[in-house]
Amino acid sequence: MTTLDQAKIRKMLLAFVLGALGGGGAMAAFLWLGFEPGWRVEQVAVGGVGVVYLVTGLFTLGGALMPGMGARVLNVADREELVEMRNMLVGSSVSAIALGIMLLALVGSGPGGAVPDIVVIAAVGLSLLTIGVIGVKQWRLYDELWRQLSWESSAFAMSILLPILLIWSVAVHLGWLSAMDPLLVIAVAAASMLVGAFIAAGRRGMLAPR
Amino acid sequence: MRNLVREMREAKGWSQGELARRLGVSRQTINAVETDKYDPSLPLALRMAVLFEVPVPSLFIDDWTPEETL
Repeated sequence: MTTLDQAKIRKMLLAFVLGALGGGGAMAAFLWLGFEPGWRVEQVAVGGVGVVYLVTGLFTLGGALMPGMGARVLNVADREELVEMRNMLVGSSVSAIALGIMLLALVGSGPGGAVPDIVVIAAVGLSLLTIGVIGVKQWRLYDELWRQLSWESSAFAMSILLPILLIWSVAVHLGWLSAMDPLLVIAVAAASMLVGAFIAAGRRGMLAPR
Repeated sequence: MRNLVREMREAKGWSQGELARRLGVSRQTINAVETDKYDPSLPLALRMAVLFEVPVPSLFIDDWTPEETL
């Protein structure tokens, strides 16, 4: 095993430990909070996906703003790569954080919920606006690989989401299942986007340790 | 499709970052091309060929052969 391989393994382990501590800690805190008021499954699902977006966004944003530290954890060749990608990474991170906040705001909303409707509407509106504006700006920063990745991750997300919604809807139509809760639809859609992005990145070798 | 981008880049003494900068793409793109995870667009392939001063078929190698016609 070369020194480079050892360095890659060390970096992967560090990223894994930090991810487990940060992500696992945030998820545990969310679930601990959730058990108290007795949230429903769909609330836990949408909040769980929200936590993943939030933590991923915060980690990436931290790495992009502190490239020296970020290069030790994020899957990049070196510090300079993070500096080169800063604008793009900051945009993606802020979008992920906005989506995470939106999903978390939805958890405590609805009839009898602690979060007022106006707060949820503001959170959803602001998040969608942020994601839309950043999406347009990001597209201009993307080179051809990133644009291809963007198309592919959307296609994978749709390939995951559509069968779930279609099959569930057919089952509801036949009277075998009850209609899917709107929060669960949102959770499944957001999770599909996440999984789609991972599949697309993996296929292009971007999850291989660097 | 195989390619000789890594070999030609190293022969020039350029890093992935240096080649990316010269081509106006990201380092991830160069890495993905070199590891055969991404086939570049025709304009990018042509620019690479210009930089390395070789024809495109010397840089990107496809083993495809046309079927013999009667």
